[in-house]
Amino acid sequence: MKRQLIVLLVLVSGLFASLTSRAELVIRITDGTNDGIPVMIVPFQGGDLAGVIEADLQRTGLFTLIDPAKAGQALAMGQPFQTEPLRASGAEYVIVGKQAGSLEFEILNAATGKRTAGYRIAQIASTRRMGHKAADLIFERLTGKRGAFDTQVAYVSASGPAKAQTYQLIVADADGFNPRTILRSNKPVMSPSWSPDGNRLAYVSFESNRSVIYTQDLVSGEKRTIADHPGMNAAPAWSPDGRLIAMSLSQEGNPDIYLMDAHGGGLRQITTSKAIETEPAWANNNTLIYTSDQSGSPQLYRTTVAGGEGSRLTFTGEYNAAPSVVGNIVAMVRDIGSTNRIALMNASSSDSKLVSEGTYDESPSLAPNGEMVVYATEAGGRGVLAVASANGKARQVLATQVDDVRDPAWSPYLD
Amino acid sequence: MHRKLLLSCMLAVGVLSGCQTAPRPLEPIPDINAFGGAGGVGQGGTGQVGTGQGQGGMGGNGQYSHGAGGRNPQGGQGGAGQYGGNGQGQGGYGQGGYGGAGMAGQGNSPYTPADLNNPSSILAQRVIYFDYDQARIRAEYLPVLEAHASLLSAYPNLRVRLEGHADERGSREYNVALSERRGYSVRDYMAARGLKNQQAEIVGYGEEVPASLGHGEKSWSENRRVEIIYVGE
Repeated sequence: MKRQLIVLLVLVSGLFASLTSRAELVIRITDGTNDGIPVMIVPFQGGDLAGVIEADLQRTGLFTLIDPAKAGQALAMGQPFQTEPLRASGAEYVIVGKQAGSLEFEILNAATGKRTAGYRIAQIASTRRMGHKAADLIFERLTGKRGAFDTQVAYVSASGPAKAQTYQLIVADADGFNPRTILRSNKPVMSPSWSPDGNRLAYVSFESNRSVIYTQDLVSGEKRTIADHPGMNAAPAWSPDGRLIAMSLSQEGNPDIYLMDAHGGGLRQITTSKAIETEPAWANNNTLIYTSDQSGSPQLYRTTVAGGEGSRLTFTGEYNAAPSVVGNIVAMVRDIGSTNRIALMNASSSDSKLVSEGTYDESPSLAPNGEMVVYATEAGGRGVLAVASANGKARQVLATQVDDVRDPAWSPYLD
Repeated sequence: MHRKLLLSCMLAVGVLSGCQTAPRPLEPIPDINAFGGAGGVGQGGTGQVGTGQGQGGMGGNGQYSHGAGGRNPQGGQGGAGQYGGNGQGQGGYGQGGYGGAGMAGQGNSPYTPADLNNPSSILAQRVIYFDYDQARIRAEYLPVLEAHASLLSAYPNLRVRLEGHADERGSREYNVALSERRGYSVRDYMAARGLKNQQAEIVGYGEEVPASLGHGEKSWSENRRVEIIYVGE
């Protein structure tokens, strides 16, 4: 009886959720930094992309945005300006620009009064994407590192009542805008992984009532079954050179890491312990980081494509899992005592820090430049995606629809 | 009544031929060690009664959690008693290992498939629940699994899907593996009581199909589960 009541309540609350859906997409900035590079982005003539660029830069935790109202003058592209009030505003750099089909913008140095750089971005179908490209150029100019704003994120959404949910695999811009559905199913879909050229996704779908790994072409929609072995077929991960896909299979009784050729065949077993081994992530074309509970609780280990006994990487925290690796940075889920947070570890020094502040954060995926990490968290009783800066100073909740959203995977660079 | 008593005496004698002591009542073994201890190898009798053939039980001692130590129960093997008739046989209990509940040919279970539709039958219980990050079976669910194992053993054409699930905490993919391990725990426990491995398909769904969408211990405890689903039902 009590159970029935609960089911009814779940159904009713699910109904309300769907009635209130289709809200406008917004990015919610939860934390910024006040000790970053001070940048003023003046609203562009003829368009509203300045806001897109502001949100992008802020997400890295490396910039502090200065309010253009503090400029003490009207600023426009190609016009002379007074440096004194700009310096007084605290800005080091000022961005001015105009949109008229294409986007033109300049980076002004507030201290010297000189034009640092000027750019023109040709018009493309997605205007927001032009803003992300501009943010990439600004980021690279001011930090010396490649920007990763003009990228995408794949994720899974679920909606509907318990045990009768609809699952969608979605690809959106890296800030959550422009979502498009790649796959819709009434069985779970999970673990999206990008091919290094950004053209295909590997994922796990239970559409045949068991876990099977598929790849799907994002343009043509062509779908291939790549792993349908007895037991669990899970956690696909494309090698950086695109030649191999790592995965976790339980065909020998318990989950182990396997490799196969990305085009099919060539299956070989990498780990052999009696424990659970899953969530392989590539540190480079030769090195795999994965989760194993051979010590009694999940921890991260490292091995090579040649196999052999893994060496343990994590010793802080009782539960470390779900690695994502870029360069020397390893992102993971860490249990810090009834709370799961995202931790970033430097693989050389083993120093690590927590960068998320939720209660049950999971599924970290690093941006291809390692400056940000997207992860799943909870807000208002539903799953949302958030991005934290690698320095831990900034956090944003991404724009996603009101469904329960989870399992993000940040794309590689797309051009 | 009289007949029945006589029959079970004959069975007991057949199964435990040579054994001087009365068989101990079979009880759930409270120790639940995920890594399992090796049970002894039981040796049952080889008596034969009648023309029918049953199968002796696999001792279920020691491990019946599908832990990191390996999938297969390390328990002792119960007696390979052979018996006919339709009484409930009992495996012998041997050195160090309890015999499991006796296997039976068709009809030897107190249950029939019709009981699956009887809401007051123990077979109506199709979901068992687990502790956080654990695949060990709680003692309170052993009678449920024993009942299902008895039915499945008696009706070898029956098939079940053991669908494992996890709560939302921890990583999603590790939870898929954990929930599969829960499915294997259930299978192994039932296999030690007569289920044939090929009767059970195990699927780990991780945290992807919650029974309760809420957040907090109440929902989590409802989501850490294995559902026993009879195929074709």
